[in-house]
Amino acid sequence: MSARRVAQVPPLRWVLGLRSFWKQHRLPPALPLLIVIVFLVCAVFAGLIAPHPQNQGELSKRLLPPTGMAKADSSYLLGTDGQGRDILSRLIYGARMALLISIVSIALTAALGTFIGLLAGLFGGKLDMVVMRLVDVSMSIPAILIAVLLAAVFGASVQNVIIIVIILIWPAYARLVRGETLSVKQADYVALARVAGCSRLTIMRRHILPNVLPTVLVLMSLHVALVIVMEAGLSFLGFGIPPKYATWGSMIQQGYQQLQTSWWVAVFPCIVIVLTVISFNILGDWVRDRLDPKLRQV
Amino acid sequence: MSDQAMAGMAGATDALPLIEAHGLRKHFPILRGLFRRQTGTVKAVDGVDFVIHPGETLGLVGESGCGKTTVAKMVLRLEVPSEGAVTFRGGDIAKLRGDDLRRYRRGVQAVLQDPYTALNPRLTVGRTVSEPLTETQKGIAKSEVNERVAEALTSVGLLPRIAKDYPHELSGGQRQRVEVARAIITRPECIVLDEPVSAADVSIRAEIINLLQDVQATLGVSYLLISHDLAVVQRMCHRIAVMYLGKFVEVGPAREVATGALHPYTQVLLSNALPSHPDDAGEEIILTGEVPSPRNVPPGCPFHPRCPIAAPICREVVPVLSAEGVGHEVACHLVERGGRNAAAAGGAPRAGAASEAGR
Ligand SMILES: Nc1ncnc2c1ncn2[C@@H]1O[C@H](COP(=O)(O)OP(=O)(O)OP(=O)(O)O)[C@@H](O)[C@H]1O
Ligand SMILES: [Mg+2]
Repeated sequence: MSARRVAQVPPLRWVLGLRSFWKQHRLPPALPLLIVIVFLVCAVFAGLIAPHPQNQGELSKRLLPPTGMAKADSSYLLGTDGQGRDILSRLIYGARMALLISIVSIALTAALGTFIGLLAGLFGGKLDMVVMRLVDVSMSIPAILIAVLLAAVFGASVQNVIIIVIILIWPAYARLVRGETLSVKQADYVALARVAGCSRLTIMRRHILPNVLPTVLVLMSLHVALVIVMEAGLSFLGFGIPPKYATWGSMIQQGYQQLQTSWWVAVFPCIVIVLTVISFNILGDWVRDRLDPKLRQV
Repeated sequence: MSDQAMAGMAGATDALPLIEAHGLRKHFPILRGLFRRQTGTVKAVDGVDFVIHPGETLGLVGESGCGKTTVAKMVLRLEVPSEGAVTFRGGDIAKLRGDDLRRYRRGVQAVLQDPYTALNPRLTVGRTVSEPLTETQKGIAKSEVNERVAEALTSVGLLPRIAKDYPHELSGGQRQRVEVARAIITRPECIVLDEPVSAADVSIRAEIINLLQDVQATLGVSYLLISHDLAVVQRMCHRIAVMYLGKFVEVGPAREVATGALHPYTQVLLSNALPSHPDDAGEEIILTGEVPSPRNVPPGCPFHPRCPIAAPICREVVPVLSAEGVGHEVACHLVERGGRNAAAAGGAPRAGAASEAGR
């Protein structure tokens, strides 16, 4: 009896200890965090990790199934596509492109949109009116139309995808930050900060921005998912990243016709997109909870 | 009570006024439609004069929307008056710049109604309390700031270690004390209290009022106290100003206003405010007529549509404040000159009253 307990307790206590440590320090949910870390590592070290090049295949090895199925080649873990390129390697390089597009476009948009929204909310008047009309106009134009138009005019390139993403999502930041600024501005602590002698700049920096930023960060982390989907959509339609780079969207596009015969070509990028998007969304919620002291455990 | 009134009187004659308001007006435009055309004005504050002496408490009472907070904001330089001016130690606060502005900010602090939005949720108590000090005395040593924060927290009955906490870790009463600590850290000469207890529980209310009285006794600070609660105002103030639709209708020593109110509106306020004893013969006066709006101020006396004793003159001529006793002014056509006021002011001669009010 007692021997059994001794044998049982240590692993249990270890797990419980880890869990309570996790809870106490309010660490992010483990599985989404793990997925995002794998995503980031793949994106950053794609050249080192990927077993094969992203864009050169061997035609003799076309449409090899994933390891474990009949006729599989063990050096192609997830099989190959119609041009004999390694699916796993292309997924890894695709992560790099997804990360690049998301980070660059979201960082630029968030900075720009937050700045515009803060100014509109703080100063109001004509500036606010002009900004809000622009936001309305931007939001009322169908996204895919702009994307197709821009791609047709400027051609498909990485920069153009980033520009398209910025045009599509900046109004969300401007509008959100403006609204938050207007409501934070009403708080008594802003009036009291003026009574305390704070300058406008100090009030913006110390009292308004920190209270607006958590929502911006949540939006940013939610947008990572959106941008990944957007980039995939554009590439799927052929208006996105040039074909010399592997992207998840173009992989699905190339694979969906062979779904019945070689499902792995399109299904793996789909799974990867779904997992990444869900993980970023969950982490986004965690970021919000973490940054909101009201929800922080004492 | 009576020695407080005496202190107020003494302040009124001896020292220079700390804060003065001259012909203060604040009119907000009402903007409508796509092109934001102005379709009217809200006369939130419409010609108000008052003086606050060092160490004195001036109470401001009146119904919701009569412009009390707007007066407070103009005194705090949060709103620019449409007309008139507020002076601090004789200087127009609208013209203050640089060091003079910082001196004024150190001298005039505030406690506002809602302790839940008065503290920035992202700053520790220490940062919040020290802000008026660090912003008005740039380059002050960190050790001195910490000392002053601890001192301020102690003098409002909090432990200095609370400085490391965030507002969400505090109770409502503690937050209110933190607000007071922040307001006194610069050792100000005047604190504007805009409904400091109306959001608090009844149990906390008495505590905070006691605290504010202790602070005044030790620091000799003046208060501009705004409240719906006449009982609070009577207890804490040396003088009371009764406000109606942006104007003062009665100003006077607290005890006189409380016991010998001359303006019908003040009488109504008092009859609603006093606790009704079963054996109290005094009956409650109920106001009739439409609720007043500063968007549409009636001609003549603004109170005439609801006044129980309105006469024809009240519909046409705007009454102005005139002296009815020592430091006691009323804006009403129907207050009997010399008759009731003589009794209310304890038989003070009219000549003295006029010179007092003519400051
Ligand atoms: N920024 C503003 N723009 C337009 N109207 C305003 C503004 N601020 C206040 N008002 C109006 O001015 C009037 C007086 O408002 P104020 O807040 O001074 O009243 P109050 O006496 O403090 O009322 P309460 O007891 O409810 O706090 C109100 O009718 C209000 O609607
Ligand atoms: Mg108010």
